[in-house]
Amino acid sequence: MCKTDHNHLEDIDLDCLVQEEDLRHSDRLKAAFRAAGVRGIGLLGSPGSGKTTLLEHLVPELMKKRRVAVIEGDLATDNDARRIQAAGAPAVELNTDGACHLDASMVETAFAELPEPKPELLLIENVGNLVCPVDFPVGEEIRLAVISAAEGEDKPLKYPAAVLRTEGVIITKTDLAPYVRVNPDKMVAYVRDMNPHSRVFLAHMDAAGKLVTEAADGGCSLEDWLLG
Amino acid sequence: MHEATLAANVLKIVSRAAAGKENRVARITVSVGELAGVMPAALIFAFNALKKETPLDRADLILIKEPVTACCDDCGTDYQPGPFPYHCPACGSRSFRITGGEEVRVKSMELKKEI
Ligand SMILES: Nc1nc2c(ncn2[C@@H]2O[C@H](COP(=O)(O)OP(=O)(O)OP(=O)(O)O)[C@@H](O)[C@H]2O)c(=O)[nH]1
Ligand SMILES: [Mg+2]
Ligand SMILES: [Zn+2]
Repeated sequence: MCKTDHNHLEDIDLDCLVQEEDLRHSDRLKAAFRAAGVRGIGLLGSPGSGKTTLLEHLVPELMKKRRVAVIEGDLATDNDARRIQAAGAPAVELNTDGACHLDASMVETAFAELPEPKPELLLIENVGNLVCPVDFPVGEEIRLAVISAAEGEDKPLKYPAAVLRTEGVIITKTDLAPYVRVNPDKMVAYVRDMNPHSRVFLAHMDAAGKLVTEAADGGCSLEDWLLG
Repeated sequence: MHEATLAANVLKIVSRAAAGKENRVARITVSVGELAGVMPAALIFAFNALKKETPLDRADLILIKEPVTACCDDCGTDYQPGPFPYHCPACGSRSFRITGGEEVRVKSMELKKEI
């Protein structure tokens, strides 16, 4: 072959994962959690999609079965950690000061700050963001994407990584569906079409302000799925 | 937006690989999975900002798209899915595992004679 570019010398194959270190850190953390009998659960979703509200509802239920603690990720404030503490579980707040996602080293630090005895079930609420946290596992066994009906019917389709790279999806705020002209059944159908292995759940707030969740795929309850 | 972190990692990986070489790095090829939460323009912008005053300051970053690939749960065929719902071209099954398109990788670097 005739090379026109005479300065050209060599191509060197590297084939290196750009996130190698992050992924390795998450794997190490997951192994450490397993060895300590801790099951990590990741929650991710847009700002205001209802992650903390869901946790406030789940914490008392899950505490009947296991020792539970929560790590909260937010750009600023410790509001969410305080909400979880009010719901009865220990919680540590991680402020990312602008970063769009948690990473494994932050979660490792926060876990060390949790009081003894350490939890058997560790729920990790990521920074409100439906894109970036998907790329950064933080030692969890399973991840749940929280997408509210109020965000619009096509959100699962528009954020495919959040559906394809998580183990479950919960469509929240279905009580608001009529006001925002959304059919939650369609959102469920999208998720099921997109990821045949995903668990799918629905959540709504009843007239008394109590959150109610149900499986939308004929499988076990959300609580049982999280408990593993 | 975590493209700055990724760009810094790219620089780190390539600096390490190019250490001790006489020739300079002219081009770096990075593949970006379609399911990775990465904005190509932001990655290039961050790379160009961070490469200044490093030995890689004259390297161009070339991004190539890595398509989503899936493997059929029922017959094991590897395929590149079209729009949702994904289905296997061999047996029609809708059950699959994602096998590619999730990662960002530094594929290669191209060296040129120092001039
Ligand atoms: N009507 C209705 N409102 C809900 C529901 N779930 C959450 N909300 C409300 O939505 C708002 C945001 O909920 P949060 O739980 O704080 O949302 P979040 O996802 O934790 O938000 P960030 O942590 O800021 O990303 C609150 O005012 C909740 O009361 C629901 O099922 N129905
Ligand atoms: Mg919250
Ligand atoms: Zn097949």
